Amino acid sequence: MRPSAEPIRDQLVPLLPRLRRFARALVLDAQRADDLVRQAVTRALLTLERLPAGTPLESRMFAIVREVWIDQTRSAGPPPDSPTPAEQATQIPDSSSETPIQRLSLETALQLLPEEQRLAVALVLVEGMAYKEAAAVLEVPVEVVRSRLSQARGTLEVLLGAREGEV
Amino acid sequence: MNIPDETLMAYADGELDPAQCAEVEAAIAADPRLAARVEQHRALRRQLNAALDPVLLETVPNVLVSTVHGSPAARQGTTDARGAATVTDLRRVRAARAAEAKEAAAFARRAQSPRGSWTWFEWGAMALCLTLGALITHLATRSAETSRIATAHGRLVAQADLAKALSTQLVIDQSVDAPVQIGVSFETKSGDICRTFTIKEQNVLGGLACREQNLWRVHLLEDAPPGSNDHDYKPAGGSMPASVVAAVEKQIKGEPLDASEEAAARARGWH
Repeated sequence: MRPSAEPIRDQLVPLLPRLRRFARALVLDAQRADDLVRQAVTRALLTLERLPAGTPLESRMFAIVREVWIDQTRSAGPPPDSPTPAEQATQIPDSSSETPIQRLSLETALQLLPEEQRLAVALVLVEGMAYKEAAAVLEVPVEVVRSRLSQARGTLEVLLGAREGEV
Repeated sequence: MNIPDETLMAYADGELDPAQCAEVEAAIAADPRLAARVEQHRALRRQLNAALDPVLLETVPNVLVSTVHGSPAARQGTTDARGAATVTDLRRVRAARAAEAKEAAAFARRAQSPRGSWTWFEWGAMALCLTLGALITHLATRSAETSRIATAHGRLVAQADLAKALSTQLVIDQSVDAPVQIGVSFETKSGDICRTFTIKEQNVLGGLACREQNLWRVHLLEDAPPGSNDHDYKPAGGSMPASVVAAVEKQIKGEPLDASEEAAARARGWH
């Protein structure tokens, strides 16, 4: 264990609850979300010495979770047998004919968002970051965060039926 | 006025600069549909928080904590090494728990706020954009001792003569020359006492402060509309910024306190 890594390791522990929440916004399955955090922590520890001075660890950690997640989604794709959230959603209304519009759960609706939009929602609405902070994590201009967020909200509201009635 | 939805969203998120903020607020005051739309944007954020914040309350799996300090729980070692690792593990787990407990407490405080009412937490975004412009002017012109507003724990609180006036001055007997003028006092739907006020800095500023513990938390502070009559402190119209009026209308339970109710509230320490 490198002694120089110690302070960063100590700072990582208090970040874990938030990293787990962030991962859960990205990945529906809790076990897979935790695995994402674990891989991100491992990757972070490998690259710690290259953390530029003055870089907030928090911002860097969210960026690493994002990197690992993007790598995972690129390489794996959904398991062939499991229905996609969209399929699950369309299966639900058939079972209950008296309910004309079956709302999706919020967690499921999130999974239907394109990756980049899901990241924007997770950072700003779930983690409470300012647009600027989220832009730094995502390495895109603030306007891009704003536009993705706006699109994502529109989609979520339709999926959740929020425009018909509140919460 | 036509305000793009993306701008309303940014407003709801507290992301607009003071000039844009003022423009959006004027539009909102004139069109309840815009206000409803802003509320929808906020509602979506609340829904997401309600769905995902409970993750913060969960115990972080040991495997994650041990990954952080490079000693996976499953790894085998000598008894001594393992013993030492356990001690550090415990310390770190405790640190993680403490952080978690802190987050949990914050979450619980938010969860406790009465359902369906407009909680202080949700005022945050509004207060953020409002205060900025006024506050910069304000803070630039006063020393720390005489500054009427200070930040404490990330909140803006009244101090100096503003705090004194909020605590002691009654609307009925205040002098028109008093440096702080109280507009109205009222009880909110969640049972807090709030007071509107105007102060003269370089400009006249209008604001809203509410009693929180033994402080006055300043929720709103904004330049009073130009050309207003400095001695007209009626809650609706007059010299109060539109945002303050809108906030009072939204939050007030019944009518503003009358003179005797206000005196009674003062006697109770505004609780």
